[in-house]
Amino acid sequence: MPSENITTRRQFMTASDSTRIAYYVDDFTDPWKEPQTLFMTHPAMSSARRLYAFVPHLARHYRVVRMDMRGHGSSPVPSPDLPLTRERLMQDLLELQNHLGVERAHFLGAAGGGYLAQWLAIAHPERVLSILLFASKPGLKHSQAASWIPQIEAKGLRPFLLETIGDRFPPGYADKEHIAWFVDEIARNDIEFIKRFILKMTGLYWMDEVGAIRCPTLIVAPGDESIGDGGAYPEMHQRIPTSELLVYDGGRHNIGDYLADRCAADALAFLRRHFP
Amino acid sequence: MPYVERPGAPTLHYVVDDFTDPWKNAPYLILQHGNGRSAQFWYSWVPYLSRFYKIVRPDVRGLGRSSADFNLETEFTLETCVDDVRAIIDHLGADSVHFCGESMGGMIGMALATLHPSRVRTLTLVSTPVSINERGKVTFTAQDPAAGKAGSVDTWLEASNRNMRFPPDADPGLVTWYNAEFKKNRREVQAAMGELVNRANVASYLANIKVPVLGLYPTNGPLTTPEQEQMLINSIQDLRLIHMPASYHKVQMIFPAACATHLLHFIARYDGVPCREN
Repeated sequence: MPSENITTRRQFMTASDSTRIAYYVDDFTDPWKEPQTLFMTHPAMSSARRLYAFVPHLARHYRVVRMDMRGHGSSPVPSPDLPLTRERLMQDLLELQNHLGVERAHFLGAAGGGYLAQWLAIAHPERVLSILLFASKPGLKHSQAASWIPQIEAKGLRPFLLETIGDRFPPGYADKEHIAWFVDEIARNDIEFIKRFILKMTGLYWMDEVGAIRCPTLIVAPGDESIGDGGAYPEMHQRIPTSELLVYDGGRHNIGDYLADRCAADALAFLRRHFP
Repeated sequence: MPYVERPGAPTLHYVVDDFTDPWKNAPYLILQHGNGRSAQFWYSWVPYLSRFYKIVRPDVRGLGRSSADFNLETEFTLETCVDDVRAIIDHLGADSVHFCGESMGGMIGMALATLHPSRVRTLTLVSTPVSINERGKVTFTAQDPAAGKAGSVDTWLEASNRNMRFPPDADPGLVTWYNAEFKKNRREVQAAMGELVNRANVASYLANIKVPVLGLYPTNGPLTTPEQEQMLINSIQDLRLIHMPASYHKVQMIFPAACATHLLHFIARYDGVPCREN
């Protein structure tokens, strides 16, 4: 019985290194108008499915396009001999933007997905209307993320996630079924590729480049960020003159999951304020 | 997108939009279009509803992407339309659903609620009359002569839009889109449904509707006149009537946010589904 919204509008694009990229379009705007496009990119170890809650808030006003980053969700795992670099990941999103014929767009990213939005704003400002970042710092280098890999290998992915769930959800988060679904979703990905991806991200940090970002930038920061350095958010805000900083007091890393409606509402308010 | 295949009956197409929390197994809400239209005409309601309910938008047989492989003369009745909806509810694997129909779609809903009460949790009627008066009658034909000639769909659309469907200050883009989308459907099916609509009368169903009913109606609507409304009020046991601030028929497209919000609150009260406004 079909009840999965995610598969009904799935399409594929072939990236310039022959890797297939899955994407999903949701558009409930008035068909006789020309809406702006909002791309959304999910966290690492995730997929476009995890961004479902954002869609209805935003798709009445924007054409929403969710991309599965290479190797995640329905985007097949790329061959190990294909380079996995910052440039390649950004290029996937840029090529999707070209594929859809969108000159300039908004880019919303949660955690690792926000890296792609930042890279685009730095390298291709002419293609970017705004970026909206949720728990997304300039890289994972100054974090404990590198220690995740040996832990995953020693304990298994699910036990590792459940043990460290306090980094992602607030203490005493009541919806246990949500956490179970969350863990299941992560476990759907290819574990070897996940490890490769995390390892790559932990080697990158580009705080010294964010000052080049000139578009309206929303930085939403979990107030109690415990993955990486929470001080990175105000530092980003200081360096990006066109940015706004919104702190969710007491928030943990996965605000895009357990506060999705709030995040989407703040995203919509930001967009409408800057692009009436 | 899902298709329902059945022996001896046309294949039906419907759209599902579901942005609910997957672990909550949200209930289904069917949005049924009316005369000559299709699932597409509900697009503006979906964002207000789909975070809390799985939204199902069927295409009536022969319209949208549903098959026209059936006898237009003998197999296009209120009963076959009801059977089609029941087939979709079965295909969803649902015991019961919420049903919301606009105009003729609401008439299908009334018949469904009477004939298959256990499958319907609540019924919402959007601009649904008991029978169609002169202002609402379909006058174009399957032959669809050139625009401007009697019996053409263009002539009928222009006149009926002006006379009853949209206010004079409606967004011209909306009206243009409405006409273009309407004309995408098979004319012979629309003409046949028009005949069904022209003679439809659901008066005999009203007193047998046992489920809670919400009405979302224009104020002094051109088709849903005070006399028509009074018949609903007199005969439907559990009816709540809300009037939108316009005296034109197509409140579905003039007030999508308000209508969808009224609908959401109505059905959520029934299920106890939390639907906070964030």
